[in-house]
Amino acid sequence: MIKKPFFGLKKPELKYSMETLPFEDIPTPREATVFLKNPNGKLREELFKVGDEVKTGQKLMFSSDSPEYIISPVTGKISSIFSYTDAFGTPYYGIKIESNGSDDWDDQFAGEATLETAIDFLEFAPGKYSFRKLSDTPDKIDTIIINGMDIDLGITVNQEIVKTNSSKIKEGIDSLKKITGASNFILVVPETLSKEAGSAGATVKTIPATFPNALPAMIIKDVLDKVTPAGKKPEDIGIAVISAENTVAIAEAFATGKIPVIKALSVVGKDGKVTNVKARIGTPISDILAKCNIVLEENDRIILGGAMLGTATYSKDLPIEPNTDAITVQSESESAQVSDYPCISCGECVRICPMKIQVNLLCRLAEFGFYEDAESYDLYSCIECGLCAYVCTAKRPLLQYIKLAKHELELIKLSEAINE
Amino acid sequence: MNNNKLIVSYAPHWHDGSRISTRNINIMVAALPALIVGILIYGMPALRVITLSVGCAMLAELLTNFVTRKELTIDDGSAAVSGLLLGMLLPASAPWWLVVIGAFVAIIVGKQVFGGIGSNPLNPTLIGFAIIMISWKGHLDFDEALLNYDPGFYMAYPLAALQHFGAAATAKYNLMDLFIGKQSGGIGAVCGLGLLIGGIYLILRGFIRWEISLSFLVGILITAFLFNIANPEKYASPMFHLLTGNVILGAFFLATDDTTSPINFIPMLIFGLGCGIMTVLIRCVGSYYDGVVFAILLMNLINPLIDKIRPKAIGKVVENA
Repeated sequence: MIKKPFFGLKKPELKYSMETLPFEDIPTPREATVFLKNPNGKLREELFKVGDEVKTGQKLMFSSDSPEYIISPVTGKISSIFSYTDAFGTPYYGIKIESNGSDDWDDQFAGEATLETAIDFLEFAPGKYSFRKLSDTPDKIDTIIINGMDIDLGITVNQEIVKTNSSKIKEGIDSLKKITGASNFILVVPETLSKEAGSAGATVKTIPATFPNALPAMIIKDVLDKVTPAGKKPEDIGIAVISAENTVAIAEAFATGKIPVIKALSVVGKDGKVTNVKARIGTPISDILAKCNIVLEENDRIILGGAMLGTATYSKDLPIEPNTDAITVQSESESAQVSDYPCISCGECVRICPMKIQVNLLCRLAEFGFYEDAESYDLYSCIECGLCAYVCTAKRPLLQYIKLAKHELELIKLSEAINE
Repeated sequence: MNNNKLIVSYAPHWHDGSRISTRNINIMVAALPALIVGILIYGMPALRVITLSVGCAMLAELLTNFVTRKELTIDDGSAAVSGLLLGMLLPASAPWWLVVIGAFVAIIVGKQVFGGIGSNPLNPTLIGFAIIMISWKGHLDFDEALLNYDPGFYMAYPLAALQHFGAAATAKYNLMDLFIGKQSGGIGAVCGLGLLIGGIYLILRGFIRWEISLSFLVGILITAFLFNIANPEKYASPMFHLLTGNVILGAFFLATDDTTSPINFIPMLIFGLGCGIMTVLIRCVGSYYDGVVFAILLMNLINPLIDKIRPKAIGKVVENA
């Protein structure tokens, strides 16, 4: 945990980790777990049920009329299906697949690089980018930013990929060109990797290696000098931000006809030691921690993601998902404690906010349930970097209030839409 | 297989370690140089006022915590800071009941009735001080109150002398003496040098904002300069205004209070300038000797209004533009 500097006039600087490490392989787990989004309704038995044999790379659909699917990361037998709710209340079905130890590849995936194929098969690829976002605005995407940096602290997955695999990124860019029709490709890397990035066949731009400069919204602002209007996605202004890892996964999928099921991730231990590993999607967290010699104690935290943006989880039996860039383990003394103290208007949050939001006012409104008023205080400009809560003198959970306001507003809008 | 309990929390999982109590302890430490000079000048009675004031403020906070059945907030140190600053404004001769009333009014009327820390629109210290100043004028008239003290320098209250005898009276004061604390006044307000050291320490540590302090002092200098060139016989020089009364204490410790001062850059400058201008206006055309207390209270009132001058958030969609 980086503390405030003694001379606090200067803003605290959170530096991204620059030390890239080779990946260690984690063996295929005995049982892989995947989560299938469950918008409403029940699983249809004829599509899959407990006891079914599945192959690696096989697409498992919830029902034939729902677009949601998952890709089985292992070959074996479905051992159980259970319902699961994630940290934000979204319902899922958890599917446990018992691996038989070998890989028998499914051949449904046809190697034709089109947007439909990408939507149909590559939503679950490591690095997770939802191509569905492009189908709404297929002709408008003209710029694709390949993010060669990891958005959170302590993670070096994308940097390591840029360093060692820039030829694959080039292939990925070619595939993305076919899929999206975009013409302008920008590879964003830290200063230290600009040489390696040069061979990837995209315009290389460097950004400072301090948090939160690698967040998509910040890249769009700093590199392209464009601003995503509040409440809009980058796709709405013709920009897509895809991670380097996902670009490589796309390249591999089209080159081999197999959907990649191996996820690269950084494991940050309690002492801050980073280990880069490659594990199958669906591997339980406990397997990875055991490999990295991390022993859990009472009141530790397991965070899926980095220290600033990750989500703490409650069980080490949960699996890693296609968008799990890191597992960060914190001991109780190292982790941030929040309080429900009132805001003292010191202004630290306002000064550090990269989006120039009046966080003190916004979070007061969100705290007391004035969600609609919060919207007029730039709620939707927030890019959820968490710096406000990081510097809060009163240790208020500011980002949580912001997310709460967004969540509640969504529910309000949903119920309004139903009533109309 | 051991099953340890894990803690689930929301992002971010890091914190820079700053705390309200650290902030307040540092403010108290920064006040020490000026305070020690004050205590050296006025002796034990001064220490009596300070300790009584701090103690009563903390007691008031504790009592209201019990009465309102809220979580104890006494450990954040904000009550202690309010009490300390109140003591620094008072003369060493202040009777015990005056200090007790001042401290209780400061915490209860100034802060707790609004809902405690963070909710007070006005600086609690100044509320306490202003109320006892208006109610018991004699005890807070420094010439009257400090009549029996003879620390070895000219003990007429500089601002009273200025108001009664015009700018000619200021010739008796040496600016350097005023700066190092050889003047009559509040226990912690006399030593400009000590306050400046404390203030710069707080600015460098990031606990108070330089924008407010600096613009406060600039506001004093500009306004006093304008009065001075308009009528040099009646109005004192800018430096005299700067070094007397509660100006330096106000600029570094009172106006910079977190809750009652603005957050954005331009509002902070307006706030500080306003404090400075109002102070000199009250001194020159008002009936009170020192205007710092009322000037800051007035600016506290318009703080929410000026803090509306804020930068446009990035990505904000302006309708009807």
